[in-house]
Amino acid sequence: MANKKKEEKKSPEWEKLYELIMKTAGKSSSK
Amino acid sequence: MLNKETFYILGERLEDGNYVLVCVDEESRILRTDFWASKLFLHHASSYYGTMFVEAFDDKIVVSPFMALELFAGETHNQFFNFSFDEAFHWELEMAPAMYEAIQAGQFMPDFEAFQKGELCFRSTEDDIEDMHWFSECVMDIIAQNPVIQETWNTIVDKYPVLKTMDGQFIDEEDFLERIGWKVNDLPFTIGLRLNEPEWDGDDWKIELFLRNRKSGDVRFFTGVDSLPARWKPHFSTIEREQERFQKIVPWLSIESGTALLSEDEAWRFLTEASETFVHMGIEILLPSWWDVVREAKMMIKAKMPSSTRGPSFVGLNSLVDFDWRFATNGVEMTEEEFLKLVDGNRRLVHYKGQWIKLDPAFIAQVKKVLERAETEGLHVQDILQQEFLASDDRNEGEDDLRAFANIQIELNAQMKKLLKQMNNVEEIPVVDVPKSLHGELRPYQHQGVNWLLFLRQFGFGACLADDMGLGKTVQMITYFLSVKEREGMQTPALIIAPTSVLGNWQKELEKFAPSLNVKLHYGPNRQKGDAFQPFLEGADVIITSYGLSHADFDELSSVTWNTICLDEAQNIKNAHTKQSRAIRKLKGLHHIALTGTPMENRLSELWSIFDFINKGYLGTLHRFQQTFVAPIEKDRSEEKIEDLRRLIKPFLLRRTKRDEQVQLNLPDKQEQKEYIALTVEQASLYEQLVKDTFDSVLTMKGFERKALILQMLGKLKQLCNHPALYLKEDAPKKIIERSHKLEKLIDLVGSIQEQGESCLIFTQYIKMGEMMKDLLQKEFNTKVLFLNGSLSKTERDKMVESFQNKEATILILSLKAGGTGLNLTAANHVIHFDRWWNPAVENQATDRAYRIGQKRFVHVHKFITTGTIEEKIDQMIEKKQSLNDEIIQSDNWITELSSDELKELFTLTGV
Repeated sequence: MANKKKEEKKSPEWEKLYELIMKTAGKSSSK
Repeated sequence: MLNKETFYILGERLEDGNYVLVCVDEESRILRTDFWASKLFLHHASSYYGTMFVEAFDDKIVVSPFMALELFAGETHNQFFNFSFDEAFHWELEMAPAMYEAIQAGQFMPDFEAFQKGELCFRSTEDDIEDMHWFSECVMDIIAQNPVIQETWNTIVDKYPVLKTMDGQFIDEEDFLERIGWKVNDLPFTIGLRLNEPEWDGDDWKIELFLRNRKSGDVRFFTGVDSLPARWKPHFSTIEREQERFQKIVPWLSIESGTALLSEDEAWRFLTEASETFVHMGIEILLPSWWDVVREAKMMIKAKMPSSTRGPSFVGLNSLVDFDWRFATNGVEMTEEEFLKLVDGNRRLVHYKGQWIKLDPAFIAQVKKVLERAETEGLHVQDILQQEFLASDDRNEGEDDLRAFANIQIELNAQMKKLLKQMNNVEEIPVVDVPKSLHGELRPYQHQGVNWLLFLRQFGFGACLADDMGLGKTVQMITYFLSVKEREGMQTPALIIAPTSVLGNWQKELEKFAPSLNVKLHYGPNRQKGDAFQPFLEGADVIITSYGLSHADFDELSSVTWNTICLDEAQNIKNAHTKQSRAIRKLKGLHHIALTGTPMENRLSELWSIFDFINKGYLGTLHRFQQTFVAPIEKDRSEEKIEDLRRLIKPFLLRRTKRDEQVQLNLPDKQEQKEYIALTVEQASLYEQLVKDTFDSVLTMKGFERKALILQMLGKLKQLCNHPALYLKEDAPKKIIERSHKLEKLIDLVGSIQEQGESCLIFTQYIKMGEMMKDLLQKEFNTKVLFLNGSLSKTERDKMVESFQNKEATILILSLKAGGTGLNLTAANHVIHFDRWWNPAVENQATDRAYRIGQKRFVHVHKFITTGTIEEKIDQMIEKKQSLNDEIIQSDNWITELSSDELKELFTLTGV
């Protein structure tokens, strides 16, 4: 299966979801 | 560098994706979580630095998938303690850093393969990450743990419901990602379908594929590559792919070059099912504009009564009524023939009389069922009445609907409408002249009652006359008999069934008000049975019998279709299952009337029994009635059901009370009523014996001796009329109620008075009788009964009067001598004279205790008179003499002055 790269254009709701998840994961790693 | 102690983290992954962790020291001792958890998660903000977990125990903790990922990815490093992970976590420790990075970098996407298997998952887009399950659980965990992210996720699911329903038919992953909005579609148009109705009814329907310009919103129909503008031609294969997908979604729909022809059946399927499936998947569907209205339109079945120039001609609730069937939907009305023709053609959607209408198969099946039922069972007057009386817009058409044809809208003709209006408003009922043969006058409300009874008779509808005690139900009934005889003649007699204690009363009242009626009593050991019964009825207008005999002589009584059957004190049939009640409800009469003096709305089983007698079947079977009304009313106090029942019974139930304005205007302040009561067999034989033994002596005596003996005889006979035990001076009498109909009547009467919350005075001349009544009434009604007599002191009397006036007790018995004068007892509005005083002045004085200035209510005086005895005869003499000269009867002595012949006539028991 061809992997989709994240540069695919998403709908605004999906964009927001990604942004929030990435931010949350990033926060947790603040040592 | 510090020499740090090492702790070992052991544990395993649980089935739900969470991890359970345990910590041991270098000597393999299990450590308490409060010692190590906060150290292990020292920098972990979202677990509040190691204090909040999925679950925490003394010796272990459970962490969520993403927390585990953070832990294994080394994100919770503590510089003061060494934590070493067990070998079992080898794989997690190896994978975690890359997984963690992928999530942080947003390198993940919805998993199409998993979706096709019915699972909603995310997968990493990085090739080096193997465990897709843990990965997805971590993403889902982040979403679930954070309310803001959760809300965003919910917005996505709401917008792309297929993520919830999981039933999308997607061509490939790209299609899937586009449909869930993950990948924005770069087509310059959207693709949808339009259904077109045929130009001519019966022709094919047509589906057309259309392309809607994303920018302008314009629609262009696609019929092949040539129909596309040059700039859209590169997307031809996408359109073709979409066509294939449509067929995958709805396999029976074959679209070629953007077009499909549908039969009417297919068009119906498209409208009712397929279009919804497409819309559900986010595909735009255009349907004919009328569909929205037609879809919602219900088809009404109408039963239209043919109009008639004459009035309604049926008799009885079970009469069949003729109807023309009509069907209406969406403003189009059809006859039965037209409708059936459409149904026969197996049509679904018909362009009829300028409108599209749907012939929903489920509805047609329902119509057929209703029509079949109407044809086999017929539509009865009862169905119409129930329909009309229970008509309500917001009614649920549920199982408990009493109406047999709840789905039919009945269109009444003008005559029927008028009849229903009259039934619901007694004022509108036609007035019938009072028969000249009535010896007496009716008060206006009584006249109205007779009109009402005759009106219902005309249509064979039974009636329940439930006027308050004392308002003259008997005289209304007697007038009714006279009217019926005058208007129709009587092929068979009317039958009155009454409690034994009032049989005599009926005879007397009939004799008084309707001497032209031939009245016969079917009662006593010498009554006519078997073959002698029919000849007994010859020439009779009215037969009176008792409740007891209605069962014992059922064979005789059921052999006649009575002109009328009238149940007096109809509450006697309240227990539907008793033999007596069942027997009575089986008797046949042209008109059934129930008389009762008590309201029945609160006594539902009694109401059912009485209605089953007057209008059989109207309230359904007892079982059905209990389900429909008794349970919801008694258990849930359902106001709606109470109202339904009230509306159903109202046309057949007439109840006026003394408080009704109309009645009050017509009521005297005081009403005297003589209650005629027969002697029991025991009383009659003792009576005859006493007269036989004593009367000869009277004839031979003269002067003072004669007078003394007469007075003594009078006294004994009076006691006997009250109760044999009183005469026989029994100390502990047994079966006291059965031995005197006066007592029986007293209990009935006091019962009715108690039920209405009213008070009564009971006068007797005999202390023993007073005591007997006191004991009996106390037991029967479980209430305090006062007995005011000469043996009480003045203070005791005053106390008793006060307690009666304050309504602490509602029954007061008085010995006439003690109660005769000087007392004010206006709390009572019933006065019962259990025995008679030969001096009317004394009796009136007693009555006036209750009927005084200050008494605002109507006072009802009941005088108990045993029939055929000295009580009745002296009463008649007093009536005669009173009109001649009141002076004569100012004392008891006048009786002793009577001649021997007069005395003989007086003492002899007659009519037994």
